[in-house]
Amino acid sequence: MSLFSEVPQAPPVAVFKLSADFREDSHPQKVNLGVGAYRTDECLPWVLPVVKKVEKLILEDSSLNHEYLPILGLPEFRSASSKVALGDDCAAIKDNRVVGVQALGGTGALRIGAEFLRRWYNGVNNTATPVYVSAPTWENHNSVFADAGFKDIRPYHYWDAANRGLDLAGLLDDLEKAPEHSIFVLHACAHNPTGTDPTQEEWKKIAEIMKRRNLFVFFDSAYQGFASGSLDKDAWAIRYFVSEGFELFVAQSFSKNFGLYNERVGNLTIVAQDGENLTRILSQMEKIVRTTWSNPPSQGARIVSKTLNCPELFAEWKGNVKTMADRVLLMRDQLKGKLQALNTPGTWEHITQQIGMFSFTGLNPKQVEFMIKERHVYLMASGRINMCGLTSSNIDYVAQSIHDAVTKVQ
Amino acid sequence: MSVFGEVALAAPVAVFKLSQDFNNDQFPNKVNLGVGAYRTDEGKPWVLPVVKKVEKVIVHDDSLNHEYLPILGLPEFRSSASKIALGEDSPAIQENRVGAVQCLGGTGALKMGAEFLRRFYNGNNNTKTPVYVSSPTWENHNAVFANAGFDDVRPYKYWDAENRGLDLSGFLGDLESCPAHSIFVLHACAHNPTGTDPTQEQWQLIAEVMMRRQLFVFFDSAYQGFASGNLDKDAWAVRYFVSMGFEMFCAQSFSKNFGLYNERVGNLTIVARDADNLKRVLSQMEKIVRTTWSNPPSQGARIVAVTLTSPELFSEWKDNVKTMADRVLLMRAQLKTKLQALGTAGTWDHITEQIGMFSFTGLNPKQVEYMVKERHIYLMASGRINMCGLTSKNIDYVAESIHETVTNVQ
Repeated sequence: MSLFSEVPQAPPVAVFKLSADFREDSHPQKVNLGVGAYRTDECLPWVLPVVKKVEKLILEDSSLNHEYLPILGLPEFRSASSKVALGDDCAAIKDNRVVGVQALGGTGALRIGAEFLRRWYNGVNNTATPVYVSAPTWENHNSVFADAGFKDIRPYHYWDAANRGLDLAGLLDDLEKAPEHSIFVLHACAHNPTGTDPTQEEWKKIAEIMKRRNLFVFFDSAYQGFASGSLDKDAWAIRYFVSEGFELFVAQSFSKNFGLYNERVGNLTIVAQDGENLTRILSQMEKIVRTTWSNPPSQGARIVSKTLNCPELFAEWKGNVKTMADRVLLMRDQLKGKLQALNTPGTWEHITQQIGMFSFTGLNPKQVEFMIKERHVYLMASGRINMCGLTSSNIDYVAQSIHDAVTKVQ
Repeated sequence: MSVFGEVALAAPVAVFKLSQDFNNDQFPNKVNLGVGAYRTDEGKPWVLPVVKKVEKVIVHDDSLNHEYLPILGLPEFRSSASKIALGEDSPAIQENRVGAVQCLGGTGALKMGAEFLRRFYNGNNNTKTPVYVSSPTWENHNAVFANAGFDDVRPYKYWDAENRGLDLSGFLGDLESCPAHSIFVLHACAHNPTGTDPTQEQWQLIAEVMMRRQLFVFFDSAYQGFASGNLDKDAWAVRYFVSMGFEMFCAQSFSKNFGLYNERVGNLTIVARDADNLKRVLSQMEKIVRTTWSNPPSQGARIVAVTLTSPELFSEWKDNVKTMADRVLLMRAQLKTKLQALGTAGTWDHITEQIGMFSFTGLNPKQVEYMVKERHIYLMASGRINMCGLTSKNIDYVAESIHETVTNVQ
């Protein structure tokens, strides 16, 4: 008799199950278009050259040791990260009303932000405040906020499947109808999984309603620089909201744009009305961090901090990011070209219109099943593909497989 | 008006406030006996030689990259870490009923274990299960379990202030009278803050009651190897409980014994009745990890895994650990001798009887205040001192200060 007899078996996280199935597949032409990590044209992981360089510098720096970081993290990492999101010349930063909390990747930043909001936003310990996440969204958003104690997590209209684009009317309508003070999780750029972002004009409309209706802005920024190749371009929405005077949170991840997935490098940027508010907020953030991970891991934060704070390394990093973004753009371009050349039914403009790592192909679950079982091309049941999984060696096979799926399976 | 206008200012974490005050103090002979980190005889942090060596190996290993670790962590870290706690030849390991979750230091391991127990132990989501922590205990224990959702965190008798030792009868009394299925947080060795551990016979008595009354065993093991200089000796209690057939958790930290404080290296070792129960437990652990930090940081775990799985490096590590433990033992012996030589009132045997980094001096709050304000020697209000803060250069000043304090302040 075990204390754990009644513990149910939890289903595996879908994207990792997909990768596990892919690994077990012995088909010579198998392709993994599942999990969101960058791959080179040789289909290999890529440690950014600037990262390799900085890792050596860190190793050789005998002034460094492994003493605990402050609870809120490495100071130079925090400030440099917030600057990357908000811009060097950000007025809010100059006004001393911006601060970062080093966190465990984007997930960790979302989590401590959510924990803080549940304790202190819209009353004290108000677990009933609605939290809106896009339909669809990253599969973990819902659970992070639920585990932080929020009882009411709802979808907001986002993806228009019929037109393969943003359902702006639905989104704006949800903003108008949401209870005041509701929390909205917005994707800063390169929406996961649809790759479809609002235009600047659309962001302005969104912001207008959110301000008028006192809705809380919580940006998830996991792809800055990776989406368009330009850090500033990818941060436009965040900076616009800040310039409009919102108090807001931004959960930043450096997993993708630094390729530092496994060192868990994230930052929760907090924009408050003034510095006095920040002091109190940070004191409560310390309490939350202390009971979760005590203080954050150093290695990844040091790498990012050193890079961002040194002009030459920063320039080299931007070059590395552009390399990744450009390869993705090339694959998008070529995939669309090949599907059009094959005369695959349907329109494929969305492949190049969508932004970032992912594309919502529009393949339905049956077609996805065909892709996996018959063609050994692994993608998410939603039809989401990771463009990084495409290479010059496999793109013809993938295009042909999509063509077969669309023509043979309805 | 800020949305954060009502956020209360939280009190700073005492031990970090103490260090901050120390840092701000200009007094030339100031001594920091507060925060629990090892210091050399020069009063400096120490990066273990074996760690420096392995960091070089890692940076030059081109087969490594920064791809996400599995949710539960680096497999070779998890298994080697559990072996360290339970022993190479542990029958439970051979029976495939031991599993592990790589976590963010000891704090993260406690947190993951607490979150699991709140969801699945003693019913589903039973927030009422009493959690007992020693009186006194590490200041974060209470908060970790409370934030995991437990409503009833209580003290169990532990420190007998009058006799400066373990209050065994009080402890056993609490074990006999507590509600069945209560969770008990036990310090595996080098109790923080008292430095007072049960003897092997006393552990046997504790285990007997816990088994009979179906109490849950949750070990906190932050000082293995560091306490006596011997890994096996320091793990005796943990291994005894496993051999008695308990299903239990052990939160392991490698912050101190590897000096890897800021890389957040921890492991939650889980001992279950059998492999099937273990499997279901781990599947639920994945869900909890996924919404907290998604997957753990690599650097520290790699250093530890490489070290533990290489016979030469493992041997070198054990030597480094012994170096630290021996210096602490030397400081204990010298401090006691000096106090006795000064004829300082009271008995000072507890200084050498206590184990690990900390000593509960017996100084009362007024005396502590005197030490801090008049002598610029920083220690916790509880009278706890970190032996690692003592050096051949400051030990005379500290001994004299204690003498003066005890003599002049009541």
